[in-house]
Formats: sequence, C-alpha cells, structure tokens
Amino acid sequence: MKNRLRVLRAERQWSQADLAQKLDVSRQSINAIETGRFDPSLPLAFRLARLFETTIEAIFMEEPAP
Amino acid sequence: MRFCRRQLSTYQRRSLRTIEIMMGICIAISILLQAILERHNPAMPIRYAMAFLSIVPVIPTILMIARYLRGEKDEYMRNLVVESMLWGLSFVLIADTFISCIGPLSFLVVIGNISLDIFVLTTSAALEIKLWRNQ
Repeated sequence: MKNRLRVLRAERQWSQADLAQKLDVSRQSINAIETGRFDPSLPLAFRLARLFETTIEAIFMEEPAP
Repeated sequence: MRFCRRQLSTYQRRSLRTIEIMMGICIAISILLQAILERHNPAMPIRYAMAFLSIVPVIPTILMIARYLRGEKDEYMRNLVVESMLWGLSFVLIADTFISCIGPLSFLVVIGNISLDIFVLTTSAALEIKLWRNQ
C-alpha cells in the first residue's frame, strides 16, 4: 500500500522521531510505514488520520493490481 | 548492533533485556546439564529431575515473551518479535529434520541437544538484524 506519510510529515516539519512520539510508537514503525514495508492496523491508521486532520484515504492509497 | 536499541522505548528495552537474560539462563542450564550428562551416567530418577530442571526456565521465558507481546503497544515491534521467533523456530526445525535424516553416526547429532540454544541465538540474531535494517 502506498502512502503520503512522508509528505504530510515534511509539510509539518516533523521528524520521524517527532511523529513516533506523537503516536506513541517506535521510530522504526514510522520508517517501516513510510517505506511501505509495513501496513499499519486500522486503529493506527485512524490515529494517523486524526493527527494529520485528514481521512485515512488521503494518507493511504491502494496500489493498482499488477 | 546494540546501538539499535537506543531507539526503543523503555518498556521495549527493559522487556527485551529481561527476555535475553532469561534465554541466557535457559542456555546456561542446558549447557550445564549436557556437560553433566556427558561426563556421568546418572540414574533415571536423576535424569528425570535434570530434564525437569532444564524446562523450568523455559516456561517463565515463554510467559515473559507472551506478557511482552500483550503489553506491546507498538504493533510493528510486535510483528518484528513474532517474525524473529518464527526464524528461530524455523532454524530449529530445519536443523532437527536435517540431523534426524543423517542419523546417529554423525557428529552433528550433538546439535539436536542444543535446539533451545539454536532457537535463542537465531531469534536474537533475527531481531537484531531486523532492528538494524529498520533504523
């Protein structure tokens, strides 16, 4: 799944550590989500959406089927 | 690779350290009992007592891991720990299957007696590598 997390974070000038702290997760989690190695659960996706004051669909995009 | 741990929370660091210590105790007892069994030929009741002693630290270790996984809020870290344990289990199964096919003629049969050690070392190595890769 693709996501705009890095862009949204950069817009607010937050580091990965800042975002991790706000979400109460490890910095590794943020890095893994941003690089697409890990898809967050629905509760974490909702927390991200709330934090960025947007919708889940605005952050995460389904990748087109091959 | 211990520097990877600096990025973990206090709960994660403390839990992983405790689990590592418990696993270390498991390995130490396992090696000690193997050494005793190689040098002496204890009677069956003593062998049973030693076998029981070898699993005593394993049970709290498993419970500690389960408690950590239940308490871990970070789902990604939870994934890493579970994946690392699967690597450990896979290595044990692979080593055990391979050795059981070779039979008792091989010197490798001794590895069958240290499956716990293989599990602990592989799990720890896999976790360290995963943490390092995700810096």
